[in-house]
Amino acid sequence: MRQSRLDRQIRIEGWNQQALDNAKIGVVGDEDLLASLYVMSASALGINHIVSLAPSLDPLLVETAKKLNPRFTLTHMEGFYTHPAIDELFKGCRLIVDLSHYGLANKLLLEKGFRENIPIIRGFCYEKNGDQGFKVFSYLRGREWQELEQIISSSHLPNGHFDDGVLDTIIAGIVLEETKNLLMGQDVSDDLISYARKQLNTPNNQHNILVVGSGALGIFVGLGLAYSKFQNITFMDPDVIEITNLNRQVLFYNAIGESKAITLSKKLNTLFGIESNAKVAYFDRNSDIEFYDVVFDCVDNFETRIVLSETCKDLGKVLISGGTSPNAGQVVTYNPNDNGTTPAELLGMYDIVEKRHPETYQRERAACTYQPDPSVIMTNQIAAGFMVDSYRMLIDGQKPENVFYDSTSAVRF
Amino acid sequence: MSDTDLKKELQMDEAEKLLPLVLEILPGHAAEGLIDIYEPGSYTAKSLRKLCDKTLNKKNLSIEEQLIVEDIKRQLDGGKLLSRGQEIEGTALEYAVSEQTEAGEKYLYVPIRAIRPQEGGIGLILFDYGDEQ
Repeated sequence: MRQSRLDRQIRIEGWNQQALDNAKIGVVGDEDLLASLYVMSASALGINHIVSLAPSLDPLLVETAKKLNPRFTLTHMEGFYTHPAIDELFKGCRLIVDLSHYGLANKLLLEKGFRENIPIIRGFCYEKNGDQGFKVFSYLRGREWQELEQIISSSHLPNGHFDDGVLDTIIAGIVLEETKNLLMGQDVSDDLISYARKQLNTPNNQHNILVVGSGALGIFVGLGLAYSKFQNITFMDPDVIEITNLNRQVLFYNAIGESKAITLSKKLNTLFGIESNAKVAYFDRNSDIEFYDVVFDCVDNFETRIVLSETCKDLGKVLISGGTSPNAGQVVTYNPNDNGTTPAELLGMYDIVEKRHPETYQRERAACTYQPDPSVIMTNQIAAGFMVDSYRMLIDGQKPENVFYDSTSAVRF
Repeated sequence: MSDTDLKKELQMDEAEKLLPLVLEILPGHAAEGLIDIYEPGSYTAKSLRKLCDKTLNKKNLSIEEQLIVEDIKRQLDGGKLLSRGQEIEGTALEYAVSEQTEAGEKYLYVPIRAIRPQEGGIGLILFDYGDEQ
């Protein structure tokens, strides 16, 4: 069971699942979503022991973490990290993740990290001078660099702070990636990983949205849209849930064998009170998208991505296309009002597909069998977060840049 | 960089067009790429794509440069050259930003990245349409 659940990541060359199995991780958070999103994603990845100190955790995300991974244990102490006496809680932790927004905890944890030679991974989102964004930095003893000034919250004590479920999703993914790197003895970024854009005004949430693909990308796009209070979403996917999906498709823990699109739609409707619906179907040239304002491309093959690009171009629809591998991903936005290039054109998908098999790209997907590729949760939640953020920027009148993410680079994107 | 910032940087005066052009082709998100310097007058009439081809076909590369070129070619096997996430069309000047060395010498800089797109979680194995079927 466990082997099957983690199958897609165990396939990654050099992967050391045991290092994740045996690790105990400390998490310091606030009352917001960030710590909870990290806990859920860490559980999906197969990290089994987490100790958290936060005033509260999101019950839905904690429940998901527990149901996804039967070995998962969470020791949660309600409160704030305001005194070194609380250190005892983190005894035996291989590293501590600091997702809080008060300077006292940030400083105490950096001091603890220095004194006890424990890595501290710091991640947070912020709003400042009309900008919103996030920062992530991995502190190891010896990295007493100027970057540390940028990761200390301006408010000394717990206070009201900016929070955003979409940015939190991305931060949780990047922080989890750094966690995995440290546990497996791989390099962590020596840069301050940062992202910023102009503050978003209140969006018009009445857009009609089509999400094609209800796998890992589709789930995190769905969560991001729900966190952003979009209501009218249609999920489209022909597939059923398999146990090997569960290392990244976090909302499907109790629905093996059921439709992905229907399960995702029902879960989000129940959890967020939205009005999403589902279509159990492939996206092909006959799919009708006239009703929708935007299409999110969360599929897993270039052939369908080409059809999506061409259909959206023909009908003048916004297309946000995301793709991932275990260590990279991209988000390309097509805005018909800009007369830009489609994702298929920009990324050279026609050449790729032609080279693969010159005569096959227009054949029906039913004529194919599938070979599972390695896949992990982190790049999916990062790419999905950027997909939703790109759309929010677009409807806010900003111009989102295409995002190319690479977990092996220090700057990441 | 915001759209406005980019436009500002792209609004170069005529004098700046007389600056040398530093073209850097980076494999994926690597911090260092293959660098080529074009003297004023040698790049204005050529398309950026042609300059990239010329840079990638440079001879007498150092061992470090050869490794970078190998990385770039790996990325280009199913990937594309992009500048700031966009297709490279037109001349280098359309993508250049003005920079200067620590010694104060001005130059134009164009970063190009060789990016391989990511497909998704499942690889297709197409049926063998050979004789046996």
